[in-house]
Amino acid sequence: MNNNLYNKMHKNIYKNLYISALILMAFFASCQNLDIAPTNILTDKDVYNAGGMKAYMAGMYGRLPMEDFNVSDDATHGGFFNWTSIAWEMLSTGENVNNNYTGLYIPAQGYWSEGYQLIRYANKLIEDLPAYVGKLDGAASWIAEAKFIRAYTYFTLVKRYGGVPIINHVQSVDSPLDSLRVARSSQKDCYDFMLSDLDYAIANMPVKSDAGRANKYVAAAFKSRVALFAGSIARYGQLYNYTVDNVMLCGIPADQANNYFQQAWDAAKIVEDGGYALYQGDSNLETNFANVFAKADNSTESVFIRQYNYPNYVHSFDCVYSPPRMATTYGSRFNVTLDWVELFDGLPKDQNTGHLKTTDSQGHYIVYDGPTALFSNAEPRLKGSIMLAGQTYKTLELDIRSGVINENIDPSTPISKFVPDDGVMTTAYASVPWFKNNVLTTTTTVTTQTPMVTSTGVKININGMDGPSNGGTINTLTGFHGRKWLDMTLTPSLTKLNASYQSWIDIRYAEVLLNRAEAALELDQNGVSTYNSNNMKTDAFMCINKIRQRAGANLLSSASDLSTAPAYAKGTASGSFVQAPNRGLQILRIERYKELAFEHKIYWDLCRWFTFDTQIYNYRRRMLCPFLFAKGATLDAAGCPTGKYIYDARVCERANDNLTFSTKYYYSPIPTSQIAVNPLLKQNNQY
Amino acid sequence: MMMVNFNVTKKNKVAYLTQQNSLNRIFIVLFLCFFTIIPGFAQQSREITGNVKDLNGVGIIGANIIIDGTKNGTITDVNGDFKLSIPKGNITINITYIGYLSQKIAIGNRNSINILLSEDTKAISEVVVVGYGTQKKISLTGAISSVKSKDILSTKGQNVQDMLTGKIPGLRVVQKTSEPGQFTENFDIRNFGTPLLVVDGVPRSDLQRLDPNEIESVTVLKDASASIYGVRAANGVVLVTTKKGESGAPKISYSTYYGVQIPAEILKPVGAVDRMTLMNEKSMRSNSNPLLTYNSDAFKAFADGTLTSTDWYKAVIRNAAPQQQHNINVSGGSEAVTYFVNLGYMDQEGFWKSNSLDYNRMNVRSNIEARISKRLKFSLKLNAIKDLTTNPIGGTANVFKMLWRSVPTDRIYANDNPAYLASTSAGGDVLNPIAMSSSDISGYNKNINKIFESSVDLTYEVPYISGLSVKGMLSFDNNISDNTSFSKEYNEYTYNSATDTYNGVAKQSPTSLSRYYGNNQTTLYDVSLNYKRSFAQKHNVSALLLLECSHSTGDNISASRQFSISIPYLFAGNTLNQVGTANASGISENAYNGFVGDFSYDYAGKYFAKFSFREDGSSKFPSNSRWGFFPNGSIGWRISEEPFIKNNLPSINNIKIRGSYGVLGDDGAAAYQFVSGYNYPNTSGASVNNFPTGYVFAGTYTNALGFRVVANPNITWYTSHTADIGIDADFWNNKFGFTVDVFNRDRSGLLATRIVSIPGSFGASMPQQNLNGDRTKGFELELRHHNVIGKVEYRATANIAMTRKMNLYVERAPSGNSYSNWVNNPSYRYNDIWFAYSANGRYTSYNQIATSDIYASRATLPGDYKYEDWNGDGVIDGSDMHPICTKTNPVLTFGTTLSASYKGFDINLLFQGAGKTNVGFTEQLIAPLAWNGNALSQFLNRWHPVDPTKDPYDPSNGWISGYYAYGGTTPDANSTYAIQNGAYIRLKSIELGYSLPKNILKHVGMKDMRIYVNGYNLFTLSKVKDMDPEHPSDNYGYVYPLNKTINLGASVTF
Repeated sequence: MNNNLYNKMHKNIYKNLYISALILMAFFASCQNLDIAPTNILTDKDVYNAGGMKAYMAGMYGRLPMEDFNVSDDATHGGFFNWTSIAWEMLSTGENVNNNYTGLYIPAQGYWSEGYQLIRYANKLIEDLPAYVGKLDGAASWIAEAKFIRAYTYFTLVKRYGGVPIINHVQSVDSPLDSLRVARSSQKDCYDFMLSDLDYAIANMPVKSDAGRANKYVAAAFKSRVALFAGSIARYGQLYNYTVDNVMLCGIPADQANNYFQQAWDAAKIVEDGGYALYQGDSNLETNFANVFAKADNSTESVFIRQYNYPNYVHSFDCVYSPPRMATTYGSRFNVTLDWVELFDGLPKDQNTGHLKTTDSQGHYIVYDGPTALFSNAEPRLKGSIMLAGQTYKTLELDIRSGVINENIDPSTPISKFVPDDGVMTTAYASVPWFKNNVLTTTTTVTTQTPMVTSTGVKININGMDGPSNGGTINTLTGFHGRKWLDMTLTPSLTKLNASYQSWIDIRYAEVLLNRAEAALELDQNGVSTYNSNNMKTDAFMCINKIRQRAGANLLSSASDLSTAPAYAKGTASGSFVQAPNRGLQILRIERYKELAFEHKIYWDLCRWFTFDTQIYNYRRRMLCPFLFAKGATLDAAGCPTGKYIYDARVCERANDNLTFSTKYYYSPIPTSQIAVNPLLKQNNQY
Repeated sequence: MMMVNFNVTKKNKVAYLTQQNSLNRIFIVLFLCFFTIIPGFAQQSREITGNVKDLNGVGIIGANIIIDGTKNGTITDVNGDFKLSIPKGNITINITYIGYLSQKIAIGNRNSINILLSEDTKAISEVVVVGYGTQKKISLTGAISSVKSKDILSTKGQNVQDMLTGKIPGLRVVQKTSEPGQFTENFDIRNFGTPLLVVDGVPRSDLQRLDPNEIESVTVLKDASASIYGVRAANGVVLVTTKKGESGAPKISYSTYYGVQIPAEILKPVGAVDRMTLMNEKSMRSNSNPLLTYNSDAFKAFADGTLTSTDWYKAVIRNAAPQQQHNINVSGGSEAVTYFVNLGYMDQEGFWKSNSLDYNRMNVRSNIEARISKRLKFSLKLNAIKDLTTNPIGGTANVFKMLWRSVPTDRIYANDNPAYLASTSAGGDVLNPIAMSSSDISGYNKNINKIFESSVDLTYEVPYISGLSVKGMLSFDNNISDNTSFSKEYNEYTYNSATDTYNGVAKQSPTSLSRYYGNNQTTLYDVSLNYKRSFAQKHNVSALLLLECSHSTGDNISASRQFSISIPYLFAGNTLNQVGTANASGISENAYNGFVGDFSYDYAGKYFAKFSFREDGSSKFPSNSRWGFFPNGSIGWRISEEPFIKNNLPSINNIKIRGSYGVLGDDGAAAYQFVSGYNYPNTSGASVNNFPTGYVFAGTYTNALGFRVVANPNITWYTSHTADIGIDADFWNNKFGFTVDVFNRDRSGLLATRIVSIPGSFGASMPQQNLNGDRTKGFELELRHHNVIGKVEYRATANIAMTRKMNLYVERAPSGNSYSNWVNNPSYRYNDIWFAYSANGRYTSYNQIATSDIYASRATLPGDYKYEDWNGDGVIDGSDMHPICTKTNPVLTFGTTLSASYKGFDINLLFQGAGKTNVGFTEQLIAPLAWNGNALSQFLNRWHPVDPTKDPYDPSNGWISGYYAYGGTTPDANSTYAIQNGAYIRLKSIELGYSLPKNILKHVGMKDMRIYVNGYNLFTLSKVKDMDPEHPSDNYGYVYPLNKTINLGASVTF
C-alpha cells in the first residue's frame, strides 16, 4: 500500500470519526424537552380580569339551564341543550301535540350534576371575587351576577325535585367524604336561599347590561317568577307536602303563601321602574304580537333573552316546527290543539260548551265561505300565535283541508255531524257511512297526493298542501300550525336544521305583569287587599287589561270581574278548559295560557297550581278538520282552492291518546345514581 | 465451456462486484473453471450431463454442482444445463443454489440427470426484522411472526391490512367495509387494541396507505419483545420494512391489475306492492283499530300499470365497479450505491351509479444506500404518498339510509320529468337518494392526504473493535390533510298536478364550502451503539444501546363560506356567515425521549437469552410520573441441538422452547389531565346546537371558558405485563413444522373516573385515574407443510388463534342489590358477555296464544316471538335476560394458505374466518318500515294471514309462516331471535398465475413475466342471514358493503 493511499484512508477514517462524533454529540445534546405546555388551558390568573371574566360568564350563561329552543328529552343534559326541540312540556298541557309524542310527555328528568357544576363555578366567583373588590372594576357586580346564576340554577332543580342540597361554597376534593355528602334542605329553605341571592343581585347589579346578561331588573323579574312559584306551592300544594326526618322536602307551609306573593309583587314592581313595557311598535295588533318575538332583540318587552349566532350557536326551531312545505326537512311539530285555540276571543262559539261553533241548532254543519271566514274576527293575539288557512307565510299560502266533499253534494245540503265533539269519541272517519261515500280523503302524504278534478276543470289537492290526513308522517295532527317564535324571514330553503338563530325570550315583561297580577289577586283573595298602599285587585285588573289591550282581546270591564265566584266547570263555557279555584283566578290563568303558550311556562304553572292532575284527566286533544265542497270551488290567485267550507271539531283522529297526569309528576324523582353515591339524599314520595 | 462460463461471469459482472452472494458464486465459478479447463488432472472418469430447473420449469443459471466429498464440480449455464466429469464408482452430487433448498443426488449409472430445485423459504439462515435490528429467525426468543412481500401480495385487498388477513397467527383483521378510501378495519394483535406501527424504524401511522409493492416484510411483535418500544407498545408492534435495491444491473418491474368489484351483499328494498302489503299488515296489527293503509284501488293501480313502482336501488347502485393498480419499480446498484425506486398508482371506484365515489392514490418511494467508505454507510429513504377520496357530500351512511327509506310509490323525478328531481314522501330528513349519491347534484367531500416520510442514517463500523458500530438516524415526516366539503344547494320538487306546477324546495341551502387543512409533523432521531460478535465460535453476543428522541406537532386551520354564486372556491364566497377557525384538539405538541438497551447471548445456537429495556419519557404526563422503565427478558432452548436428539432423531430439524416476560406501557390517556384551570375556548361537549363554545352577549359571539375536570396530578400510562411461552418445531427436512404460543397480558392502571364516592352536588367531574385492569389471554397455533412431489411444489400453512379479554377491577358505583350486581358488575368477568333473552319458539296458533303459560298481551298474533321465562316468574321482563353468548368481537380467528406450483403455473388460496362471534343489527336491518319508509326485501319472509284484508285477530284466519313476525313486529335486539352466530369461513383470496418460460421471454428482452387472475372475497360460508358476517352495526348498519373482486393482472421484469 503506498503512502498516499494510506494517508487518504486515514484521512477518511478520521473524517468519518468526526462525522460520527458530531452526530452523536448533536443528538445527545438536544434531547427533547418534555415540558410542553398545553396550548389551550388558562389558569385563574389569566381569568380574573375583564376579558377573562367575560369568557367565564359566557361559559356560565352557555350552561344556564334555560328552557329555550334547545329543550328536548335528551337525558344526558336533563332535558336541556339538545338540538331537536321536539319534546317540549307543552305536549302535556293541551297547548300542542306532535307526531313524535302523542302521549303525555313528562320533561326529561335527571338534571342534577350539571346544575351543581354551574353552582360550583358560581360559588367560586362568590368566594374568590371579594378579594378583588376595589381592585378590579366590576368585581362587585360579578359577585351579584354569580348569585343570580346560582339562584337561576337552583330554581331549575327545586321546581323539579323540591328541596335539594344547598351547596354555597366550593367544596374541596381533598375534604373528607362525609363533608361532601350533603342532605336535602327543605323546599322553603331552598326558596329563601334563592330569594336572598336574588335580593343581593337586585341590590348590587347594574341597571343596564348587554343583551343576554342579567342586570338588576332581570334579577327582579326572575325573582317575581320564583317567589310566585313558592307562594303557589304554599297555597295549593299542601296535599303533596312530604316531610322526612322533620325536613319538609316537598311543600312549603301554607302560612308562608302571602309572604312569597308579596315578594313576587314587590319584585315585579321593581321591573316597572326599569323602563320595561309591553311591545306596542306596530299598529296592526296581529303583526304587533308576532313582532314581540320577531323583534325580541330590541324590544322594551324583552327582559332576559338568549341570543344565538349563526353558525356558532344555533337552534332548529324553524325547521322542526314549520309546516313541512316551508322547511327543508322535518317540519310539522307545531300542531296547536283546538282546545287552546278556543280560549281566544272573536271566534263563533257555542255558549253552552265554549266550543267552536261548527254546527247549527239542528246539528248540521254551518257552511263558511272561503277558508278564512271562520277566523276573520279572531283575536289578533291568536292570529299572531298560529298560522291561518288562506294567509300567506314565507311566500306560501297556507292551504289546509282534511278532505273534499264530492261535487254531487251541494253546499246547501244539510250534513249531520260526522263524529260527536264530546272529547271522547275517537271514531275514524272511515267508519262514518256518509263520510265514506261522499268525502274524498287521502292517506298519502300531502306532497304526493293525486288531486281531484271538478267538472269545471278545477284541480283540488284533497288535503291542501298543509292539511291533516290519516297517513304519512308529516301532516298536522290538529288542523293547525303554530306561528309563535317562527322566523318568517327564513325562506323555506333556509329553514334547515341548525340554521335558526332568532332569540329566545326567557323573561318578557308580559310575564312580569301577569306574575304581578297573580300575586296581587292571590293577596287580595287572602286578606291583603291593600299592599304597599296599592289596591291589589285594581292592580291585578290593570295588569290584565294591559295585556288584553295589547292582544286585541276583550277587555275586563272592571276589577270586580276578578271575583271569587265559582270558576266555570269544564265544558260549560269559553275558557273552562283552564281550571282554577274561582272565576277571578280562572280569568288570570286563561290569560297566562293565551299569552305565554309555547314558552315553556304553562307546564310549570299547572304544576304550581296543582291543577295538572284534574285538568289533564282523561283528556284527549281536539282538532279542527276543514272540508271543502268541490261544487263551486275555484282557485284563488295563489292557486289555492277557495269555496264553501264546513268544519268538523273532534278528538284528534291520530293523536287521540287519553291523557292523565299522575300526581307523582308534581315532583320528579331524585336520580337514583345520586342516591347511590349520597345516602343522605332521601327519595321523593311516590317513587 | 469456457464461453459459457464467460457468459455467466459477464452476466453477473455487476452483481459480482458488490454482492456477497454473487461474490461467492463467482469464486466458485472461477474455481470450477480452473478445474474444468485442466482435464488432464482428472482421474479416470466419465461425463454426465444434466439440467437444473426451478419448479416453474425455468432453468437455473449458475447452480453449483459439486461432487460430494470433493471440491470438484461445475455450474449450470444460461439454460440450466451442465456437464460434469465424474469419477467412476458411487458418486453423489450436491446441487446448491442460493435461495433454494440443496439436494444430494446419487448418480448411479445414469448419464443424464434432471434436477428440480425448490425455493428455500424456511432457510435456517432466515433473518427477521425485530425492534431496532434484525435477528436470525432461529434465535428468536419472543413471539414474533413475519410475512414476506410475496405472501402479502398474494391477496389483492383494498389495503395492506386486508392483505395481511389470515396470514399471521394472532393478527386479527375485521374488514367492515370496502368503501373506497374508508379504512375502518379493526386491526389488532391478540385482542390487545390498536398496535404501534413502526415503518423502517420510525413510529408512523398509515399502514393502509402504504403501497404493498414496496413492502419487503411485515413483522409482528406479539409479546414482551415489543417492550423495546416502551410507553406506546402495550398493544404489540407491527414492524414494516420497505424494499432495498440489490446491486446488479437495473431491474425494471412493472405490475398491474385491473379488477371488477361487485357488492358482497345486496340489500334491496321492496317494490311498491310489497311495501303497501307490509304497510297494511303494520296498520292491521293494531288490535284496537285495525285498518288497511292502502285499499284495493291502490294495489290495482300498480297491477294494471297505471302506476309503476320505483326501483331506487337500481337508480342509485350499479352492479359492478372497476378498480386498477399500476406499479413500476427500478432497482439495482453498484458496490457503492444501491437503489430501489418505486412508483405506484391505484384507483378504486365505488358502487354509486353516479360514479361520485372514488379513491385513488399515487406514491413514490426512493430507498438509496451508499457506502461512503469501507466503514461508513449511508442510507436515505424517501416516501411520498398522495391520495384522494371523493364522495358525495352526505356521506355513504346517508345514501343507504335514504335509499332504504325511500318509498317505491314515490317518483325519482317529479311528474317523471328528469328536469325536476322529486322530493320524497318518506318524511323527516329523507332526501332524494339520487341527489345524495351524486356529487354533481348535492356536492362533494374531497379528502386529500399527503404523506411525506423521510429518513437518513449513517452507520459507522468502529475500527479496532470488531463488531462495534455506531449509527445515527434522523427522520422527518409530514402528514397533510387537505379536505374540501362543497355542499351544493339543489332543488327537490313536488309536482302539483292540480295547478300543473313544480314547487321546488331548495335543499342544503345555501351552497357552502368548507376547507380544512391539517398539518402534522414528526421529527425523530436516534443514535445507537451496536455490538455483535461471536467468540470461540460458540458464544454469540450482541448488544445495543440507543437513545431516541421524537417531537411531533399538529396544526390545522379551517374556513367556510356560503355562496350566492356557485364557484367552489373560498374566494367566491359571501362575507356573511364566513367562518375561520381551527380545531383546538388538533393543535398539539408532544415529545418522547427513550433510552433503549438490548442484550442477547446465545451459546452454540442452543441456549438463548435476551434482555432489553427502555426508559421512556412522555410529555403527556406530569414530570413526576413521566418516566417509565419497561424491561423484558426472554430465554430459548433449542432442544433439537442437544446430542440426544440430534444424534438419534434426524427427522427433527428444529425444536425450540422459548418464554418471554416483560412490562409495556400505553400512553393513550387524554393529555394534560394533570393541569387544572380552564379550557379556552370551551371544547368539551361544545357544539353549535347545545353547549356552545361561546355565548352571545349583545349580539356578539364571545368565546367561553370550558370548565375542566378536577386535575389528577398523578395520571400516567397504563401498564401491561405480558408473558408468552412458545414452541417452534420443524421436522423431516422442514417439510412439516408448527409453532404454538400461549400468552397472558395483564393490564393495570386503565383509566376510569372515580365515581363511587363523590356526590353530583360536588359540582365537578372527577378526573380520570389509573384504576381499572384487565387480562387478555389466549393461544395461537401455526402449522406448516411444504413438499415437492414430482414437479409439483406445494405449501400449506394454517393458523388458528383464540383470545379473550377479561375485566379485572372495574371502578363503578355499587349495585343496589345482588341481582343488579350480577347483571351489571363487569368486574372479574369476560368483557364480551351478551345478556339476552332466549328464544322459546314462536306462537304458531291462536290457541297457543290463548293457552300460553306466559303472559301474552291481547295484541299477540301467530308468528310473534316467544321468549323463555328464564327466571320462571310467569312474565317476560328484563330479569329474564341472562348470559347467552359472546359479543361481536371474534374470539377465534383462523386462516389457511394453500399454494402450489407446477411448471409455470402457480396457485394460491387463502381461506380465512372467525369463530365464536355473534352479531346483531339495528334499525332498518332488523325492522321493516322504519319511520314508515320502506323495507328491505328480506322482511317479506314473514308470518302473515292467508287473507290479508281480514282482521288478523279473527281466529278463523289461516296463517303462512315465515322468518319474521307479522306486521313489522321485531324481536328484542337482545334476544336470540336477533342475535346471530357470526362465525364464517371465506375464500379471502385465490390467485392463479402463469409465468412465461424464460427462454421465450429472453427473445423479447424480458426477464420474467407472470400473468394471473385473482379473486377476493369470492365465497363465504356463514349462518348470518342476508348479510355479510363482517357487516358491522356501526352507524346503525348503514355501511357500504364489502366487495367481491376479480382481478386480472400481470407483472413483467426487464
